[in-house]
Amino acid sequence: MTGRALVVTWTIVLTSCGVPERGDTLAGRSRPLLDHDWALPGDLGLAPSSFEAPDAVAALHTAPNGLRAYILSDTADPIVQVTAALPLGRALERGGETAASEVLARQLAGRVRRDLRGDGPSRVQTGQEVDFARITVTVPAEDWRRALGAVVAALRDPGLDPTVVAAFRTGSGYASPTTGLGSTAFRPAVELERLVAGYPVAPPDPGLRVSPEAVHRIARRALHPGAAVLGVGGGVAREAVERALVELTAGWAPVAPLEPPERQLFPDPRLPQEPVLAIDQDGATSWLAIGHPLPPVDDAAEPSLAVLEEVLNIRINIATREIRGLTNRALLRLPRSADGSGLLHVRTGSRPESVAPLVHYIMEELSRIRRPGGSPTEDEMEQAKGGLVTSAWQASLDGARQASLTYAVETVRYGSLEHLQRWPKAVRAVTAEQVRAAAERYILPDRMTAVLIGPLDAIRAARHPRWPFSLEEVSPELRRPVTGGD
Amino acid sequence: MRPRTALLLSVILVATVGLAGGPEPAPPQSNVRVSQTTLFGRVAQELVLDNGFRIVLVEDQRVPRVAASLWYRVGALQEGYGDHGATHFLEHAIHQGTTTVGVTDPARDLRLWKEIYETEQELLAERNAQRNLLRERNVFFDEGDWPTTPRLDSLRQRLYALEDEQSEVRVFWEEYNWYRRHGGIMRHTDPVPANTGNELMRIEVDLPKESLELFFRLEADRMVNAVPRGWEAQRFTVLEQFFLFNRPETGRFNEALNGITGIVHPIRLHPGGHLRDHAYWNRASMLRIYDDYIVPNNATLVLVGATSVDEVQPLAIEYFGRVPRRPEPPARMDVEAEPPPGGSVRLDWMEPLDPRVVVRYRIPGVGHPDRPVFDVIARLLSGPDGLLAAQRGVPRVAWQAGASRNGSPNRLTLQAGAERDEDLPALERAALAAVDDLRRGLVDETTLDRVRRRLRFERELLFSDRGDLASDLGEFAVGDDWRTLGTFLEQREAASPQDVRRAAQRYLVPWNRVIATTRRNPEPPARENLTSAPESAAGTGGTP
Repeated sequence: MTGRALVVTWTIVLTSCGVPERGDTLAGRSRPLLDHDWALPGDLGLAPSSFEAPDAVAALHTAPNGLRAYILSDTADPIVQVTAALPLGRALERGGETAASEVLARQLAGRVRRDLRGDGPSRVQTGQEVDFARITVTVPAEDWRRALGAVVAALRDPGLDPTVVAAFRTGSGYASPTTGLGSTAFRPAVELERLVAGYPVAPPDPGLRVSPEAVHRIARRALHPGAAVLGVGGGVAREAVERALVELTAGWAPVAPLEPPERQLFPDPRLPQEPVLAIDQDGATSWLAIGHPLPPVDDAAEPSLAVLEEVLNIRINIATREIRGLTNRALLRLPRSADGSGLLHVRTGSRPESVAPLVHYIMEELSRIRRPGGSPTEDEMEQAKGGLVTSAWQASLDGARQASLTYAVETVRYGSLEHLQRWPKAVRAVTAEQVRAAAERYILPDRMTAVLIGPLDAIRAARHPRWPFSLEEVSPELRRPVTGGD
Repeated sequence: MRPRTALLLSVILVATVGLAGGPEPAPPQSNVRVSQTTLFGRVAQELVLDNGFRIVLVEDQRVPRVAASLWYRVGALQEGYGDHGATHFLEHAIHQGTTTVGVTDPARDLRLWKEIYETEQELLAERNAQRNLLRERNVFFDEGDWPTTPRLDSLRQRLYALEDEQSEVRVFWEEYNWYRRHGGIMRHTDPVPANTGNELMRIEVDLPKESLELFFRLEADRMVNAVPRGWEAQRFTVLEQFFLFNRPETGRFNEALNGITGIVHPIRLHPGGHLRDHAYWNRASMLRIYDDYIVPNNATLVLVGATSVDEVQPLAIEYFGRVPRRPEPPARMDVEAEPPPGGSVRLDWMEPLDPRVVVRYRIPGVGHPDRPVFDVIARLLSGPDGLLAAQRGVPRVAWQAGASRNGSPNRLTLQAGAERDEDLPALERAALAAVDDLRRGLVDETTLDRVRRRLRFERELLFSDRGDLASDLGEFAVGDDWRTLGTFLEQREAASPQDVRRAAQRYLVPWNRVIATTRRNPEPPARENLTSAPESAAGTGGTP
């Protein structure tokens, strides 16, 4: 056969068979595998991200009364978002003020919603952690002044309603105080906070009242023009916002000198005698939280702990979900407070037979990373750093609206943007050994306590067909003494 | 082609392949059709490859990132008996790596896969042979108790052991970790940044623009060379999701409500399947769905962000362009709910739950000219200023109203929780009275204008968020056509009082209605009737 004839024959074959594919077929498949020469993901030679944070220095404006605002204009945006970030949360409450921050946050949001109702579309969102609260209003760009006006008006006068304050009682603590979100899934972590730390790490006990005086006191501190910080982002000119702020803050002078936020002392950690608190509750899914309190974290250790959280989250999920199918998800959470104090815990849920194996494999991963051989691999370090910087940090500054919100919240929480701005470099500098050292210092396998909520009889009777641990067997693992090997 | 000629060509082909040491990798295709449309002042460009793969691109250079949203037109609507929920499971299964990603020893991996597959075939044969022993032919709902036999147990243990062995050559979460390493933001914070519905499967990642090639590399590979490793473990992960969403107190009620609404055909199916389906699933039927539907000519990739046609086109050709076109998927998108509407359906739930009333009507899906006005109707009904809240003589409650956009059929749902069971009749009457107001045309221009402003605001929010816009364009691509999003938004903002009245009179009628209630103290309790007698269980019990 001549060369030309071979080409013609090949052409006929290819035309009749379609684009050639490798002959291999995965058993069970009707479609052949595709033979390709694509580079492996690590060999693609991707350029570093060109993302840059918006200029925070240029964005900062201070009104005549001291109220600060980060104004980030994006004229292409048909939307404007106004955020008020406040030093308001249970970690900042003082004697006699328990739960007053929750009452104030609710009243502020209510005041803003009332002001905006019936006057064009808007969206009001709130958020509260232990050491800050925020109210965010989103409106069409042409309505920006209405939104800014409503937020500033609420800061000047939150419209505290004595009857609402008198009727208030603290709730279960496992529903988000300002959004009403929450479910049984969040309850174990809250009960664990109550068990091992108490208020203010844990929410206050249910059924407490708050005095109007306490709300007024906390309002004087949190709504002080030198304490609150605004973020304005989107389709509005910076100069227009500056002018509006002069008008809106006119006559709003602080009634008292600014007091710097004063955090409550971290309570003494408690180690309950029993390692497992079990609460009987019917349902298909049992909910579990395992953890211990963390005191304030050294600034230098914070990036290492953040990398540790990323690495451990993946490891725990591979051990419990991917390899064993014990749960849909297990979530390791470090405290979200600015000083790092709070509850370190793993939260998960599963069917009864998986509860005991979950405890075992979670504890195994929490212990493994403390050992010399358990240090993160190079790949794990790069993945974690990408997740913290190129993903999460960029997401927090993604566009004028989001960046203005983040700048306002960060300034309230840390006093400046230094923490946010140095974060990428600090994370990039973390070494695997620092992560292991952080694990050794902050993860304490001998001081773990678990809260389990589910059908207890079923949980105690159930044995997983492949990993037939009992709850009694695995409970001691929560207090296993740390040895040299650990 | 005559047999002798075919034989000759085969010989030549085999000889040629042998001499060359194997076929060359599939060459990229070069033909790309590009067109563009304007959506509310934004240019949307469409690229269609020869193999049918479609890309919709909306440029937004404000932030150097791109939202990538890949949609397949597949879901619960395509599933037959025994496969219910299998598409959702497939979504998990195809996130366990490919022939080149997530594996350290591909040859051993494929050998193990073959053994796993054959063992499962044995298991299926055994299960079929023992079917009369194993179950009561759907008389009872033995949730959480899947009967078995010693032979089945043994085969299942073999499967577990083989998958454990396969784990030795796996790199877990590798695709997810490549995304994370390069700045991927996944809407779901687990290794499966995807979800599945009645007629959709989507995979969504937001990436720095410099990392966009990673999405093309990984997702084209996933489209054609996925290896569903760790299948048994994934089955239990999906089962946990099922318990999480479908077996909390309200989950069973919602499942029943969706069933009598006829949300997918035949009635009583939903994307997660049912508990028993988790035992029926098998690799072979799942791979049939994969081979039929996860193909370039059944996919749309939406990109919104800092990229351009010039940047995207070479990537499309290099990656998705190499994946061969397949026969058009056996679409079952046009099925109607059964039984056809013929009377108001009522569900009074017999398990204790917080008191709630739900009133539902079946409505058309996107692409139908009557669909946009139902967004207007939902907003006219809901909120503190809505028609539901305005009804007099009923307890003050927070009413919700919403109109769904995907599935078959879609539905307008009005609902409210009550303080007491005794309040439910009044709330039900209020809901029906509000609907009657719509049918009688009691909607004035001022009220409608308030709703129009709200809808315009929602549209502006949508177009200013690259992730949301990518998702909505994808949703419309699988529901009808991505271009329909523009006309849909235009039409709902232009709806007149007459449009509202006409739609209400046509659709919000008793014969197209479902009313459901839950009570704190229902009578009689039904718990005793939910399980079979212990002596009837054929096997040892426990989930497999």
